[in-house]
Amino acid sequence: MAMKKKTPNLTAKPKKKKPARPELRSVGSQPILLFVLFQLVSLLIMMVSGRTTAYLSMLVPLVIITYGGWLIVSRIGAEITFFINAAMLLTFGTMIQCMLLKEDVVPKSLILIYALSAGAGLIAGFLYRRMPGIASANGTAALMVLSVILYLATLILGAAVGGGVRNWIRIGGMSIQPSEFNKCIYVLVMAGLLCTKPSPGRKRIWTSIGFTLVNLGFLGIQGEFGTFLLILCTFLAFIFLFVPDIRVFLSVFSVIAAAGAAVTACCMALLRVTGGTSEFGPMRFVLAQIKKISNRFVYWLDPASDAQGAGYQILQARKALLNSNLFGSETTTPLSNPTNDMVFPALTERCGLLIALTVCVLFGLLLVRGTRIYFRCRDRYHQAVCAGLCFQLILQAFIIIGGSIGMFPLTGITLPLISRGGSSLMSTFIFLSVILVISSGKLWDGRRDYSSYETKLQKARAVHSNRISSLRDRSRRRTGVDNTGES
Amino acid sequence: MSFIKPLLIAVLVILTVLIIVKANRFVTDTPEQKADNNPPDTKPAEPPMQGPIEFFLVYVGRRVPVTHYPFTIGSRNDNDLIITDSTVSRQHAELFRKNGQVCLRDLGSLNGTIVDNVPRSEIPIVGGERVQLGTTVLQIERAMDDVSDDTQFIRR
Repeated sequence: MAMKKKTPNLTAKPKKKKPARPELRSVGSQPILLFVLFQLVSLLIMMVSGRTTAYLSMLVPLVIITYGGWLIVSRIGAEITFFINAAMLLTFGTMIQCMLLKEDVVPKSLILIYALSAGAGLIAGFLYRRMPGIASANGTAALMVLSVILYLATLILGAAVGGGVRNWIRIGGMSIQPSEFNKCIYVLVMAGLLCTKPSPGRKRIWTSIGFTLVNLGFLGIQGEFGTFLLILCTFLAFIFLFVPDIRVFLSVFSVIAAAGAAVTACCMALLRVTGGTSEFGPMRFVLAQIKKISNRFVYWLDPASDAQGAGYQILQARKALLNSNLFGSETTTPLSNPTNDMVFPALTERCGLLIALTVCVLFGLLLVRGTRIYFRCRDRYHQAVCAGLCFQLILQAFIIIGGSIGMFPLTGITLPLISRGGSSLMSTFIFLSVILVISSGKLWDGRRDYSSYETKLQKARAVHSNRISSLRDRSRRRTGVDNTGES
Repeated sequence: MSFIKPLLIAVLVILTVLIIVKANRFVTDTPEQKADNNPPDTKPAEPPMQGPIEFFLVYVGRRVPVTHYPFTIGSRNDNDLIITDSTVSRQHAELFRKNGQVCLRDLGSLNGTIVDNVPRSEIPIVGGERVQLGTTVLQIERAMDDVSDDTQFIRR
């Protein structure tokens, strides 16, 4: 609603540089018609699969999100193709979530998740348009503090939900995963640190490295190695894209590689020396974490060595992939956690290889579209935010798809827009809405520090009134005409 | 019964591909078309705009004729009137024709466009307005009113 209110202003200000923008904004009727057909066919598929009630009830939030979002996106002049791709992914996600339900009932929790996520996305987009303060030095500092607070809260109040990692916080009957929001905050902080100046200084680069280390430390303590990897890659991407001096990237990269090798060697030695057990409390904790990571690699290479335990997940995923055919088979291989981590094998098995391939293509297209938005964006700060968010989104998809089909060691993160995870979907919607808001192209100037803006304006005013009066005097002498009125 | 689901899935995939193709062609083609169409577009567009000069913008003592519409004002080099003032946005405002009238429109500038002490986003221009962009003040003059010798001072 709030975003719609802003729109009449926007449409009244077309850019001179892009005359094709208005045509670009008004989507022809063809894509919408095709999209309606697309959703109807998905409904038919669900009817054939015997999940009519569930899918019909899920269609309500889905239709509101897709068409409402479509309306808003075309009103604010954002990149519509990016949105269409995301909407198709969301439809696939809804389909597979309904297929994975145990029986054909109304999935109330899923509807709640969708509603909350849509709300979060709307609010985030609106806030991003209206709050230039987050790019300022003070805003960045505040975001850093907020991020640390979230991590500390997770450590203190954290509880394991469903036998996983202790990274959930319960608030009023709902459990949320703060690390999902930390990803978003991380991108904003890095953009604020590295991209508000034409080239970031030494101090800012060191601050960003320090903040990354804090993030990685907290994630390591929590044992969330999927997000750990994500943050590390995002950090490298930021250093590569937004520090003009390539030597910084090379040195950071070599340091990380060396440190990684050293840590791996140390951990292997530690495991061998202690034999994996210790009486000393912190030591036991460290050993447990090391074991967890090393197990990932061990069972990735040879899942059959512990077919009933740690290798079970991977083996079942492979079985599901083997059972699948082009158009979806009737078999249902029992997967551990099929709605979240293992959603891709489940999707492949139930909907077929073609749809799985389409999902991969759609993620690739999201990357292409995100890159376009990145190149079109003029402002360095918004460019950075767009690049970071888009990169994280795609990397997340890449890691989990690769993990579940056996390309990489498996880490437990969600597939954006398809997995069920509540906070994950929420943060994905936030990512998408911020990227779309950036693509609409009418935003505040990210390089200006708005917190100290007033004083700067006053200074500029003083300087310019002096200059104008001197110029006026000169021209008056020359032409003998006084045209400028008062002031 | 067993053949319906594969069929539907195939249809779904085809639809997805169609949407992708439609949506992508829709956007990727427009810049190319723009590149092709723009030169012929702008050439016929500007000469009819010429006509007699209706308005002058008075900026630090100079009278700048508004030769064509849209006439953009801002601090960037590609504007028609370039104002070197840090409180003026790169694309600050523009004069354009709407239903035969000439209007002044703010192009999303940071400090706004203030016409006769009232901030405006779009306002029809009749001449004699005092327009404040950031800290810079422009006076709009109508050419018909004063058929004066001032035109000799135009320096472009």
